[in-house]
Amino acid sequence: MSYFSITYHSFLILLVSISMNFLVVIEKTQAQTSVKQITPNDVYAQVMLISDELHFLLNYFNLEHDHEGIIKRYHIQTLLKPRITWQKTYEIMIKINILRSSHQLPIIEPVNMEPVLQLNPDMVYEQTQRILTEIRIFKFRQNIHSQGFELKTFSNKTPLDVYNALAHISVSFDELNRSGFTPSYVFGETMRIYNDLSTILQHLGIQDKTIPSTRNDQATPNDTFDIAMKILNRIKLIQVKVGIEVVDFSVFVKKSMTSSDVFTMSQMIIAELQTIKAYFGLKNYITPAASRYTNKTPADVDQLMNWNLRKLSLIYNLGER
Amino acid sequence: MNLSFFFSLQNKIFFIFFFVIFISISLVAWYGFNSTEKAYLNSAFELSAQSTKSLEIEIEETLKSVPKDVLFVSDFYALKRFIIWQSMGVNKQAKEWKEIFSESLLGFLKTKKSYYKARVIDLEGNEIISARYNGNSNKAFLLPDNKLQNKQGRDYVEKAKLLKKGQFYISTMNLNIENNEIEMPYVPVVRYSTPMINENNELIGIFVINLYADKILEILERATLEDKDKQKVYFLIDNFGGYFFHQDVNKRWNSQLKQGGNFNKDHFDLAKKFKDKHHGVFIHQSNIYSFKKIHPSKENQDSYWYVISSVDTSIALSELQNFELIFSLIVLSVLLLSFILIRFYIAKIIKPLNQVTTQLKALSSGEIRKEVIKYSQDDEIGEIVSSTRKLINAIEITIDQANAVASGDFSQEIKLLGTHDQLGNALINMTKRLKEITSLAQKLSTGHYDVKIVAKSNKDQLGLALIEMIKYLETIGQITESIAMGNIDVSYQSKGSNDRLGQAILQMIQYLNSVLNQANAISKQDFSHAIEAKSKDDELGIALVTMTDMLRENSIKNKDDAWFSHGIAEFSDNLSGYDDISHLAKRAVTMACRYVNVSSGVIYIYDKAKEQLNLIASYAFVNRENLSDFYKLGEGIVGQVALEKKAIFLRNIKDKGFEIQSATTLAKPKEVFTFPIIHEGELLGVAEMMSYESLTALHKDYLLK
Repeated sequence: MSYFSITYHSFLILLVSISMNFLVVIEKTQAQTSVKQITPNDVYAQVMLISDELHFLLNYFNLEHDHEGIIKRYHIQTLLKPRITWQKTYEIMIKINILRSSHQLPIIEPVNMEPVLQLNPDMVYEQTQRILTEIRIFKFRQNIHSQGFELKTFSNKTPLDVYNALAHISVSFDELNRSGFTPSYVFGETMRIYNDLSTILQHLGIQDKTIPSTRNDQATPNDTFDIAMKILNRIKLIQVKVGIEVVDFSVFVKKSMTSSDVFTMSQMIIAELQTIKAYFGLKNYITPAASRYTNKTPADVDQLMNWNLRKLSLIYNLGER
Repeated sequence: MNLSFFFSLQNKIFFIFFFVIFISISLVAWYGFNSTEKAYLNSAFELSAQSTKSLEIEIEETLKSVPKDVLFVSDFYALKRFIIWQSMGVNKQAKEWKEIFSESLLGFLKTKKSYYKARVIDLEGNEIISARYNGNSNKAFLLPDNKLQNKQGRDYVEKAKLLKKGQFYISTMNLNIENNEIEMPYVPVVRYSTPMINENNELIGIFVINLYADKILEILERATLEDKDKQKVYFLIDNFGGYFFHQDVNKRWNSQLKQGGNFNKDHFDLAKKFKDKHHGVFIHQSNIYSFKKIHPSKENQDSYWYVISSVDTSIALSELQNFELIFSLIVLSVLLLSFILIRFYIAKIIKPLNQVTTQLKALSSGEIRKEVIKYSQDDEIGEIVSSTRKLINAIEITIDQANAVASGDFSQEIKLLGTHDQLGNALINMTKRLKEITSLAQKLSTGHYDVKIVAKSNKDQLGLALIEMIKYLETIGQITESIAMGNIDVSYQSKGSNDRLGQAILQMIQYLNSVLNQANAISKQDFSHAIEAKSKDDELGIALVTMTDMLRENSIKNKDDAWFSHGIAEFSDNLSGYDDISHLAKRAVTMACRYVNVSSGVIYIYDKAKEQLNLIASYAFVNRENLSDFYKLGEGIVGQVALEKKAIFLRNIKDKGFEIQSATTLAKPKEVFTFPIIHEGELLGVAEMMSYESLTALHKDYLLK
């Protein structure tokens, strides 16, 4: 039979092969089109929507604020990582809880970051979506109606622009809440650091006999900020040792610190600890949300932060050995 | 009793031994008894000390784990975390850790069973955790918060605050107090409290544990029961004398109940007796007291109790009395046994020694006593006996050898007793020497003087004497040889008055010289020299004397005969021709006196008719008044000679009273020869010759003729 000749057979094989390749290309094309490509411009646009909403609310509650000034004031220049930006969104989520709480709304459990070495920048976008949603929920619950804000288009925005925008939003939330973070909130975040560090130590099998430092009743946010910076520096040293990209936090140093600044630094610490956790294989251990504490003082925060520094030293010293 | 009995060696040794042993045993006994008495006392002390020491060990062993337990529990991680979180106001964590710690603490109390309470007290004195263990039900439980008390101001809280980490405050043993009341029924406890200090050197709390003191009191209770037979009693007291334990329960807890007893009052003042000592044993009022300081915690030297035992001395030392009796019997038995053994042993030693002594004593006097000495031991005495036996045998052999040598038998071989047998060697040397000397003597005895002997040394007197003797004999030989050759012109120097041979040689030489001289004199008709025979055996001398005498006599006879003949002839010649008798008589008396050489002479002529003798002629005669010129027959010597017609020879006339008168002198002549003048048997007269010299027979014969 001539149908089964070699030439005919070869032709059929070639035909099938071409068909298969075509199908693969089609498949890939379909897959690429199903995932939205998030760029810093997109995130920034989303952040600007949050800013508009926030601006609206401030106006709604007749709260004067220096929007531009805040932007300038918190404008930092450094090479940030998405995890840092993401942590800023977490901070805003906490402030939304404060807002909700101050308006008799139940607080919500903030979404926590998964421990990863490199956070996908899309996660920041998702966070901004959540913030935006929470603001709209708040408006809905407060029966505040507003016109829809238009999503603007931005170009040439960088992650740093996103961060700075989020930073001024965070500050604006303080204006909206009529207060910044209290030491109790900072204490709660410091406890999260404590828990993360305890988890790492436990995971590494390091016997933790550290205790809090002597209580310094005269401690100020500046003192605690310094401790936080020490923690970040110590984390940076660990990251360098294990090959994790580091962030320069020196740009956050100011002359006068508030509890919110310490809170921010605690967020930076938590963000950086996620890389450590990821590195040590604790990818499934997501730092739980902070508990609510009351009547905490900067001294309490300072003591606990110092304790965290001591705990971190155990991990660092393990690397030294 | 003979004193020498006491001074015999046997008794000396015995008394010395016995004295020494007696003294030694006495000293040992004295020392032993004293030592034993001390030892018993020490033993009693030791036993007392040991009993208190045992109690101390047991009590401290019971208490030993308490500080560790306190530290262990106070160092619980959960407890620390609980205190941290509580101090930081993090209630959730604080509660979690409290639950963890509480669970551990209750488990600990149930396991240990010796703790009544365990508490955590904050700096304000608030009990923040209080757990209790019920020994009867073996249950441990936490006190609810509303039951927690404030213990501020209590010693175990306030003093613990001042301590350093790891230090303890230990309360005195007392009855547990709840809500400021002594808990009923009594629960004796000892509280251990320690400060809880964190790594920042901050005091964060006090941990207190209450030990059930019953456990300690039970130890003393048991010891008291065990030593009931010994009537030993025990006390556990605080440093002020308050009883924790006394057989009489009513005396306990005096300091807390303000009733009961106190050791200081019941016995003695603790402070004075014990001072700063940690332990000790002493006698007080016939009781042996032993005490030991007990530290509930070694680390806390300020907190201590005393465990004390007390026993009556007579009971404690009852064994000593039995010992005294047994010890005395033993000492006496030892002395008696020593006495017998020493006696027996010394006798055993001394008997052969005595025998040896007897043999040696006999030996010292030259006697050999060969008695068998029975001594079989191979010791020094055996050596002495054996040596003595050998010595006597050796001396006996030596004597035999010496006897043989003395009897001239040098043939016996002398056996040496050993390589160092000096006597044997000396005998051999002596025998050898004697053999040599004998050989020499034999040669000398055969006249062989050409021998030599060498003196062994300048002290070899025999050798030197032999050398001298050989020299002497050689000299004598040479002299005799010379004499034998007719040469008597030899000289010899006598060796001394004892040199008999020499003297004999000299005498022989002298003798031979005298013989030679005699012979020479005889040969020269000189018989004047007289040789004397040396002895009756001196035949030569005698012969020579005889010959000389004979020759001399012959010579004298010849001379006398010649003289006589010449005298007669001359007399005849000179007297012939004379008719006058008086002239003739005178001539005759003169001639006779001259020829015979007498001093004077007279001739009396016999007057036959008158039978009287009348002086007719004289020679050198002097008339004297007292001398008569005539004598009757038988008157005087002259008359007597005439009467008897026999001559009378008077000699050595000395006595003045001699009545006989001489015709010639009143002096006393040596000899007076008065003889008759007879012719043809007829008395012609009497002649009397007086001489101051001796008249020979020849003279007399001539005169008579």
